[in-house]
Amino acid sequence: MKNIMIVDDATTVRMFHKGVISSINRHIEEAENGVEALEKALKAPIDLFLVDINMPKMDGYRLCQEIRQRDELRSSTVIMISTESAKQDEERAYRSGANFYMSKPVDSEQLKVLVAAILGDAV
Amino acid sequence: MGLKKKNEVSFETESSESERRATARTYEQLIRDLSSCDIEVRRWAIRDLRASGTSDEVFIERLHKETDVTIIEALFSALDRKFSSKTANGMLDLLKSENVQVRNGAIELFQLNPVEFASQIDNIIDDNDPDLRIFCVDIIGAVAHKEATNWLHEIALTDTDINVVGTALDKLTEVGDGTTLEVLPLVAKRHAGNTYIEFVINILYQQLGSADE
Repeated sequence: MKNIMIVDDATTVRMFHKGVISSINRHIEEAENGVEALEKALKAPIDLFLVDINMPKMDGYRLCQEIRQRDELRSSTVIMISTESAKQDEERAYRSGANFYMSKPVDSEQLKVLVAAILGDAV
Repeated sequence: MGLKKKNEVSFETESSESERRATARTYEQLIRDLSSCDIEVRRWAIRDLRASGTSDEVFIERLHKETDVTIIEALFSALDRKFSSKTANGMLDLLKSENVQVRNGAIELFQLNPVEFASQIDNIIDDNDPDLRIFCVDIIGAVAHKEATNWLHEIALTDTDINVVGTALDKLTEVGDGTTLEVLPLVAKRHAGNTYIEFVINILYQQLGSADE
């Protein structure tokens, strides 16, 4: 069973993203910030992270860098989902180690299809 | 303590007697020390400048450059001692910092000083940067201010950026009240078809009671 983690400090955003991908039958973890995400991911490895950028304690860029530096998590896929739509923010996300970048508010169908494709599922 | 010469500052701080510095430095030296490559020198400069009643602008300016987490904390602690509306105004640009510690430190300090934060609301809400406005909404959501709900209503009703509106609605799930119900139909109409906005509005109706009840 592959695991997904949604990392966002906004409760309703986590609920919304969870609802969008709930039809993909996977275990879904949640975290409010990068610190909590890292702690949870090191206990139970995560295959796919959906990561917000602006969060307290540890932001999405830093979380992504931490993921890439750890053997247990290095191969995980990271989709960065942010309100920041400037070109330099997208580039910074990729430089931090993100595999995909989406701007908020996400297109629900687009997110579902992308997550399914990453996990090798048919939608 | 020895006699103080003109332009020298005393080293009185809240720390214990044993932590006091042995030699006096001028204000100009302390300002230079703030940029020292030695963290301990920077830390002492903050303490001594704070004790001398230095302007907040000095600390705010340093926060734009500082990278050490403990020094950033010390600088915010220095600002917190005599936080004013002027301090709050000077700190607005810190919300745009690339350094998450600086940004979060500013957010926390605003949250601890709701009255001074309130004095800057108009400046932030009118800022061109939607990310800054989102940080403002985050602060409003956490700040203990009687106007917090009204501010969130206004932002949800008028902001032009969908993510700012979404963040305001998210915060209303935490601090909204009966008056929020009057706002929701207008926001829903303005952002019809946006699935996230519709999703949060439904949550708010569930929490606060629908208009039909």
